[in-house]
Amino acid sequence: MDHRKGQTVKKTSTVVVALLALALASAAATAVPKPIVFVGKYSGTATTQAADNVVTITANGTGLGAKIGAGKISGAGKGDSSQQPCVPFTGTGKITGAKGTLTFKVNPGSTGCGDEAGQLFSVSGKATVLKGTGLLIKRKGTLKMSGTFDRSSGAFTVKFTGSLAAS
Amino acid sequence: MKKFVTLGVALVAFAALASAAIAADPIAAPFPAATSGPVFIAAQTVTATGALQNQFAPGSSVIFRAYAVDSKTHKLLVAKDVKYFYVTIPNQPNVKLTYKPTAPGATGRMVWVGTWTVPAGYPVGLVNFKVLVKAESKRTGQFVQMPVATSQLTISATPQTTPGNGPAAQAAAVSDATVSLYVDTVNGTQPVGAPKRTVGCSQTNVYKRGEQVVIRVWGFDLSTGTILSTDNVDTATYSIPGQATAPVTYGAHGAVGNKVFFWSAPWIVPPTFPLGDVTILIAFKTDAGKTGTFAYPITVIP
Repeated sequence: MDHRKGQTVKKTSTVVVALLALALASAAATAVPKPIVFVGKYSGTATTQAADNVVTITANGTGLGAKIGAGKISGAGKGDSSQQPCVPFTGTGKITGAKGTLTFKVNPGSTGCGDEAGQLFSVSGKATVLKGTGLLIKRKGTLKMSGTFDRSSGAFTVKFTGSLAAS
Repeated sequence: MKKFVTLGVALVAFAALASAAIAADPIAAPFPAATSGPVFIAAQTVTATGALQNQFAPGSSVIFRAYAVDSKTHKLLVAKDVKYFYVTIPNQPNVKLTYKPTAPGATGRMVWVGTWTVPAGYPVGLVNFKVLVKAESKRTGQFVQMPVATSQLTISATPQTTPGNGPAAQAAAVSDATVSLYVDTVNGTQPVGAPKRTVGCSQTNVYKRGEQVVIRVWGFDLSTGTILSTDNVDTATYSIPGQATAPVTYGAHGAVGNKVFFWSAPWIVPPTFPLGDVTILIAFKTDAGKTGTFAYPITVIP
């Protein structure tokens, strides 16, 4: 009985398995986590305090964010009320959820555009994520912000949308 | 089974939290609605010269002009597509709109035209008209004016008329209507080097140098059926020949208690700006990369 043919098949199989294992290990080593689409919607109360043309803004609210779940938002910043009807503002903030946090800064170019009475504002702009924790650890990116602010009641809404890549 | 129950409870809890977050929002009403109807309509009131105007005297003629887009096919409706298209006016017979690009008042896309002769005894005040369309596809649409009283159709014994003839009729620009826009202009209340008009924020497309043009826009991304807002718009701009391109911004307008959100931009006609017709190009780009433009002519007079 000739066993050489069987030995050849066995050797070939071993090589194929080894190559597959190597390919898988290599793929695992180079695999980049997929970007996470983040959508968060928050509402709460903001206060504004004007001195000359500098408006100091403080905001706190609650809401829901993708991956991190229900939680809070807080932020602080400054606006330039010499520019009307769209007041540019910048600042920093933090979104906290049960499963993670995002720390961000509001990018220049973000504005709150007021109505004729300067009471009801449409808020829009972009925020750069500086740091993520929990399920969003090492995630960074730019989020679009849109929302409203009613100066008379202090009520605000803000929606964040964007993609967070692994850094 | 237990796992399914747990999952179900978790989903219900998540939904409750989400709806609580949404319910807590202050009311910010986008005009005309958050989502588009089956047919998009934009309509204006003009004189026979194409001058945009919203105040008319009893006995005068109001020309309605409009265009409509099927929200499903994103095609502009032409004569063969329409079962009916008319204006309904309180206590008046309907005004039928006819597809007639050469009719007085027709211009660009706005080539559905109808005339209402205001009866001598028609009561003065706001006219809450509606424009209604039904396509052969059976899809319907409705148009109402933005709830800013000074810019709505008004019958007055002493109307503020537009100070000149409107811009010459333009050919309809060939453009994708996936992003469909309504555009008009009103006289701003902060002219520079020109007197204020008696009624500010009334519709006009004829301006003197130094007057303030206020562009007003709303529209829909018909691919998603959503209103154009800061939620889904990447850039919104207007361009005028010889002027820097500038942003059109989203904000609240109107009376307290009835404020609505739409897009607007102010522009002062420079003191040396060439007289005659000029086209303002309004351009929107959504976050998804969809674009929509509207070529809007105005006339500059001395």
